[in-house]
Amino acid sequence: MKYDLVIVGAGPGGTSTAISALKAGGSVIILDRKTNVGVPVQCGEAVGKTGPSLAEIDVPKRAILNPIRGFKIFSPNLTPVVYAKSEAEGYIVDRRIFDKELFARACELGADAMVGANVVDLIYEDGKVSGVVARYFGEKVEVRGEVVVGADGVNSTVARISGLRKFIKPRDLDTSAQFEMVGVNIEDASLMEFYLGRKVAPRGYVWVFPKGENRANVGIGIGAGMGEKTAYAYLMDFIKNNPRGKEVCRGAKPIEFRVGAIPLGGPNAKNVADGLMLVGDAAGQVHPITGGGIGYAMVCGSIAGRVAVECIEGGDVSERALSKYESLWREKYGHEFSQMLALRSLLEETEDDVLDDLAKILTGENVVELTAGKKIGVVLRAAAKGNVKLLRMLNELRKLQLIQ
Amino acid sequence: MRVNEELCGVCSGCACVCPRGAISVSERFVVVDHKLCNNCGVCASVCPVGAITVGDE
Ligand SMILES: Cc1cc2nc3c(=O)[nH]c(=O)nc-3n(C[C@H](O)[C@H](O)[C@H](O)COP(=O)(O)OP(=O)(O)OC[C@H]3O[C@@H](n4cnc5c(N)ncnc54)[C@H](O)[C@@H]3O)c2cc1C
Ligand code: SF4
Ligand code: SF4
Repeated sequence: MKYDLVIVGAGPGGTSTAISALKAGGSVIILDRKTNVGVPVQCGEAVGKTGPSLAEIDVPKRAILNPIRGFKIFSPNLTPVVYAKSEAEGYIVDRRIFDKELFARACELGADAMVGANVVDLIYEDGKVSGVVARYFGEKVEVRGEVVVGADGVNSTVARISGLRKFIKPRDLDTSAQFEMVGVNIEDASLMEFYLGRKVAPRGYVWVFPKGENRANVGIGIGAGMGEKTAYAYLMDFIKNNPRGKEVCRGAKPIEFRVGAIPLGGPNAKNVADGLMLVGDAAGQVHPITGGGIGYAMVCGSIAGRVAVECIEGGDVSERALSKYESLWREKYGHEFSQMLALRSLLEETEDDVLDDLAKILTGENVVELTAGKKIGVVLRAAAKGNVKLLRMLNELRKLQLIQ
Repeated sequence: MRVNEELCGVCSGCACVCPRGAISVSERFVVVDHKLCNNCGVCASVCPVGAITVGDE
């Protein structure tokens, strides 16, 4: 049987693509190399605060663990910047349930599924991608479709074989380690905590994402190759030696350990080819600073599914026809991503004492605006007064059009 | 290069950055194609748990 869409990857990107294609009347098969989709979890499990809002993504209710109404960011000397709303603007979810529910939803709507199918090659016919080759329980199988969607995550085989992303430069990757812990001393379980600084997490941050009153994901992401030691060693340092980290984690017990890789070098130059589309981490649709990608994968996947069915119905799945997807998603997030890439470079250069000074004058609202690529208010420049280094940093922000 | 399987948590970071496509990842482990690997060491700098050694030690 030949499908309209062959989707590689049953993460939030792949299943969102499937759901929107099915709603538009297309036929779909989803392949994932995992036999247990969603496991192991390689994620901080926060949704709603980076990129698309809760209103734009359909979060499976059963996956919601804890509503989040804001955050506290701690500068290197632990100066806090707090943002707290009265209502929930995000959730900490259980990704195992999250991914599985979306997968089930897609299959209930009519998608076929192959779990344990490791896609190892693409099939080309007349220069156009027309299917995939997978290793499936000891056999080699071919699955054909009008359009192949690579939603196979950070280490995308589809991106590599198609040449759309052969490899990722270490500089564009964050490497991550995380404990889920119980017995964590959380002040306010409705606020996420972030810790910045070169010694804490070079070109990255430590996070404490509460899953309940005393249960949390305590994790770290650092720029690959940018630290003096491994991500794991930095995380242990935070837990044992950071003045605040050791209080938060005093007596806490790890009940899970995970590692992960986050592509935060921005989107690939191109995410479509004849008969082929890339979605989510495979496409680089990840916030270059926060590393959040669940929401983007879902919204961009929804666009991809719709456009693919439209193109198939119109009898044209060439790169040119499919590029409608590329323009639509870039219209939404392209500007935000390129500004955040520039801000990421600036932050990489910024010394710890400047971050400390910045934390004194920034409000939580400012941080939300900044990381959404919006301009923040002019009062800041007055507040920086005679601080030359800080003024220089604010000037750089102005060049990026992030400050008035 | 060699991977210490006891440490590796299969994050796939090493495979993402390998310029020669020498590392493939399955659901449970990573596989190195030693014919492709030239021991450049890029992958080792990425590993979050220090599971990779490059060279002959
Ligand atoms: C440590 C860490 C913390 C993070 N924290 C957050 C967070 O708090 N909030 C947030 O929004 N984002 C977070 N992210 C990012 C987020 O996890 C990803 O952006 C998101 O999962 C992307 O979804 P996706 O569908 O594109 O890919 P994935 O969720 O990675 O799904 C890809 C799927 O493809 C399958 N696959 C891969 N290769 C093949 C193949 N060859 N054949 C068949 N199947 C294949 C995989 O098994 C997997 O199921 C984090 C990432 C990491 C690593
Ligand atoms: S040492 Fe270099 S070539 Fe060998 S697997 Fe690592 S990154 Fe690839
Ligand atoms: S980077 Fe390290 S932990 Fe991740 S897959 Fe490679 S060897 Fe395993």
